[in-house]
Parts: sequence; structure tokens; C-alpha cells
Amino acid sequence: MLIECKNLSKSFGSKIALNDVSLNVESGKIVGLLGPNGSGKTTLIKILSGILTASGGEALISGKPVGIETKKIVSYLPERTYLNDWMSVKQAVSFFSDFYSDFSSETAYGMLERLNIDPAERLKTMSKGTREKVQLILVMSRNAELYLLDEPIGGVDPAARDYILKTIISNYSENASVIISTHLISDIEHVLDDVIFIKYGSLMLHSTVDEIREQHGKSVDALFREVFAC
Amino acid sequence: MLGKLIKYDLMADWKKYSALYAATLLVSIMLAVTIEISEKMTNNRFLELMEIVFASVFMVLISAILILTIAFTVMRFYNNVMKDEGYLTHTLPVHTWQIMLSKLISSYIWFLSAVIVGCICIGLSAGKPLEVFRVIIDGLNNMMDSDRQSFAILAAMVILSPFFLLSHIYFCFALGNLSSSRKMGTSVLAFFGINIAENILSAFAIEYITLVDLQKAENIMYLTLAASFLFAVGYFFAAERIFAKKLNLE
Repeated sequence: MLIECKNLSKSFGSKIALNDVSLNVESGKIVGLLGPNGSGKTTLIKILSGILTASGGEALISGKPVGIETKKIVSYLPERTYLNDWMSVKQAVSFFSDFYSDFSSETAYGMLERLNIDPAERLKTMSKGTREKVQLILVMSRNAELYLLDEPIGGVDPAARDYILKTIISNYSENASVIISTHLISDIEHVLDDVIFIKYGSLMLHSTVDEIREQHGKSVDALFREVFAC
Repeated sequence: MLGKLIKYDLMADWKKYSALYAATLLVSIMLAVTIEISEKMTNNRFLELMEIVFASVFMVLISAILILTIAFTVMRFYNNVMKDEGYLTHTLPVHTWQIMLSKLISSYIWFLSAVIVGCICIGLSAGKPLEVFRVIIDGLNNMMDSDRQSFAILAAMVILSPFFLLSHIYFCFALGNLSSSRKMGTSVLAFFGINIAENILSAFAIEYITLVDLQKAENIMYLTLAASFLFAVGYFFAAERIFAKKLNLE
């Protein structure tokens, strides 16, 4: 099992962000982590990436607790710009190459060229959308075992969304899993193998997309609208 | 990995420091040239005015080198460890102690360069670039000859003072990290709170410690050095443990 969460909880003061979440994710899957804003998607991803500590329970990746060993195999894309803005794109590529042994500079430069992004350009002078694309390229240029993508298509235009989804599908290896957190379900539904619904920090549903279509006779988007109707 | 972390830390700020050093070097040269010319052309009001202007700017820049070095290194830690850049820093496959040690070492490099550039600029402004180093070395030699013990304590104090200050600040940031909101505010409050607690503790120590004779100045220096060192090591390790076990990037 690639991801094992056992009774995972996280609270911020009196506010419960994750409530006793237990789930397993196998290798070789593209999983949609779906839920409305504030449902706990980002919190779960942050705990798995190691930038937030759980209040209770346990998270294992490839059987190891989150730490330096899991960071070697997890490629994380946060929902915000985390690159040092003093860097040029080329320096950011070198940075990833220096720290991640599974990073391919060749893949990164290939994707940059296809998107007409100049490696000499400084991140500071780029638009937010272009910086997000650079970030995605860097994250997807790793040959990781697990990709944690938090809202990878949230801030980009619809044309770029298609490219990003294609990038994700074509760059992850068959043994790796991708967890995509988003509320733009209709855009990603066609690439998903599994879906996880989270509401108020609790797990509502963990199923394959095929099962949802067979059992409920609905698309994931339609089921989401039903489950999370206001 | 530690070397790579230091490399990128230095790369992040070198342009800011270079600009500051270049400005100070330029003003010190202009001050030296103005002094030289005004010595030859007496009663020139314009030159006298320029001398005052350059001397004032020079004093501001020399002070700024030290103050900005502290500000830049502290902000670098805050931005790179606790703000958005922390999302990358903390997902690198490195230990937390390596992240913190790299910040400490790169800060030491900037402090050292600030001292060297400051001395060169002071020498340049007087028309003798290396004179300050000679005066410092002579002074240190004299001090070492007359009182070796005091010299050793003073040298240790000077060398370790950035460590004392930075570990204190890192610990305050670590406490700020535990707050779900107002991380900076909590860090600032912790800074002043810990300072006050340390001062109260020192006052008690001086009042009640009877194991050593505190009438002797050198004993007070030893005690201060040992206490500062122990506190700094404690702060550093406590901060490392908090960031490693209770990281809270919201």
C-alpha cells in the first residue's frame, strides 16, 4: 500500500480540520481528493507532505512515517507559489536537481520549451499563472512514487488546464500514484481512477470512478453536487 | 546536503549585500577624496559641506551594514522557513537540523563579511584601507599579552554573539510557529518575554550564587559566557525539535 492513514486527525485550536480519517491508496492510481472549500483536503495533503503535523493518528507512505525518507519519494505541489522569487527558471531547475535524486532536468527543459518559457527569465518577473506552470513542471519532472497536487488547475485558464492535465498523465510513471485535490471536478473527472470525498474533515466516500458510475448511475461531478448540496 | 543549503542561502541574498557593500565602499572613497582635496584647498565652503554630507552618509551606511545584516538574516529565516518558501524548504529530503544549521552558517558568513567590509570602508575613508586591521591586530596582541584569560573570554563572546542572538530568534520563531494565527506577533512577544525572563534569572543568579566569587570581574564574565552558551544551545535544539515535530505551515 502506498498511503495508509490510520485515524488521522488535525485540529487548529477548537476547529477540527481532519476528523479520524482512515484510508488506503494503492500504487498506480490517479485519485481525486474532492470536497468543498474548507473540507480538509489541503490539510490531508499537507500532513502527507510533512509540512503539517497531525494532532492524532498515523500517516504512512510506502510503510514509512512521514519524514526525510518519504520526502525523497513524494513530489508535492502546494496551492501557493513556493519557489524563491530571486531565482531564474534555470536556477530553480538546478535547485530541484541538487536536492532530488529522482529529478530529470531534461524532462523539465523539454516541458519548459513546449510552453515557451525562457529558462533565463526570473520568477519574480513572471505572471502568477506562468510561475504556477513552472512549479508544476518542476514537480512533475521528478520520477516520484507519489505526487500530491493541491489545486493544480485552480489558478490557470481553461486552455492551460488541458495542458496541465496532459502533463500530469504523461509524466507520472505507472507505479506511481497521483493525488489531485480540486473542486473543479468536471475538468479532471476523465483522468481519475479513484475519488475520495471529504466533508467537514471526515471521509464521506472512497470509491473507484467506475463503481460510482455503476452503483449511482451518475458522473462523479453529479454525485459530488448531490453529496455536497448546500 | 548541508553545503547545498548554504549555497542557496548565500545565493538568495548576495545581491542585497553586494549593493549595500558597494554603496558603502563608494561613499567611503568619496569621503576620503573630499577630505584629501579639502586639506589642500582650505576655506572652500562647498568642499566642507560635501565632507559633512559624505561623513553623515558614511556613518549611516556603516551602521546599516550591521543592522541590515541582522535584519536580512532574520528575514531570510522567517521567509524561508515559516512563510510560503517554507513549503519547499520543509519538503526537501533534508533534516531539520541541516536547515537550521545552514541558516546559522550562512548568517555567520554574512556577519564576517560585514565586519571585513566595515573595517575596509573605515580604513578607506581615512585614506588607509588596511590601517584598521593593523590597529585591531595590534590591540588584540596587546590585550593577549596583558591578560590572556580576559582576552579568551572576550574573543569567545565576540565570536559566539551571533549564535547567541540567532538561536534566541530561531527559538522565538519556533514558538510563533505553534500559534495557529499571528505567528509573527507570537514570535515578537516570545522574544521580549524570554529576554525579560533571562534578565530576572541573571539578577537572581548574581544575588544568590555563592559557589563562585562574583566580586571578581573575570568570574562574572565566565559565568555570563557559560550561561549564554548553554541558553543558546538549548534554544537551538528546542527550536529544531519544535520545527521537526510540530511544524505548522498553515
